[in-house]
Amino acid sequence: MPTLLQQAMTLLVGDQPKRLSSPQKTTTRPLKKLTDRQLIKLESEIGRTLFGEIPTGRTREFFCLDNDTWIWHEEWKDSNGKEKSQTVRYEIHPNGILKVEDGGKNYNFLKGQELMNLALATRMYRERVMRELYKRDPKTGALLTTEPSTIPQVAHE
Amino acid sequence: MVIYPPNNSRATFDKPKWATQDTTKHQPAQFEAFDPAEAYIYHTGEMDNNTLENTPEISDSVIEAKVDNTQVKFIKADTEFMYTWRGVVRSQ
Repeated sequence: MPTLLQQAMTLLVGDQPKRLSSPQKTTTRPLKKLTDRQLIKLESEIGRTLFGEIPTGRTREFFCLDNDTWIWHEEWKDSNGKEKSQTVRYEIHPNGILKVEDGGKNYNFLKGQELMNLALATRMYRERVMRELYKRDPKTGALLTTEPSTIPQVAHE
Repeated sequence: MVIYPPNNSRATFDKPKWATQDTTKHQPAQFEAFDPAEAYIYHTGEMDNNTLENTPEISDSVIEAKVDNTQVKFIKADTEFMYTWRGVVRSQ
């Protein structure tokens, strides 16, 4: 039975709060530890969906490689089961966008509708990657949410 | 009220009749009756008001080139933004 003094102290200072278990560490910047390659891989998961449904049996990648290059890459198997692949580089030059195919054998500057399609794709890429992956405003970079809990984990290679 | 023609037109107008009359000596009743139809005489020129002399036509190829240049600028801006942002993510 508590003494009179203890009862008086309880009235004055209240009940002692229960000691909480130490809070779990939350990561506010989970992407910080990822390499460039891992970030590109995450971005490409969004980039590949910009062009509609991917045919069955094909894999597609589309991403911004660096400050001057976009990459489109597809892999599939032909009727004989032989693996095929196609990589297209879109290089940004002072006088336009150069489309490089077949390892450099074919190249031409984009114009007209194809150029407009690439412009739309890059703009959609920026919008969706910034919002869905980085949770940031695509124009200002301001944070869109305080709990980036939906960022997927990347298996470390 | 006198209505003036558009600046780039070749129209001319004559002064209304009442502007040439001497209003200092005559009584108001002696002025000619004001006829709105003759307030001004508006002559349209030979050329349309919207046509300017010596303006070269802009060819479709020039317009297409301008549009393409704009698209290239958009692509450059988006590329630079994404590349820079990726660096920011890794550096913070």
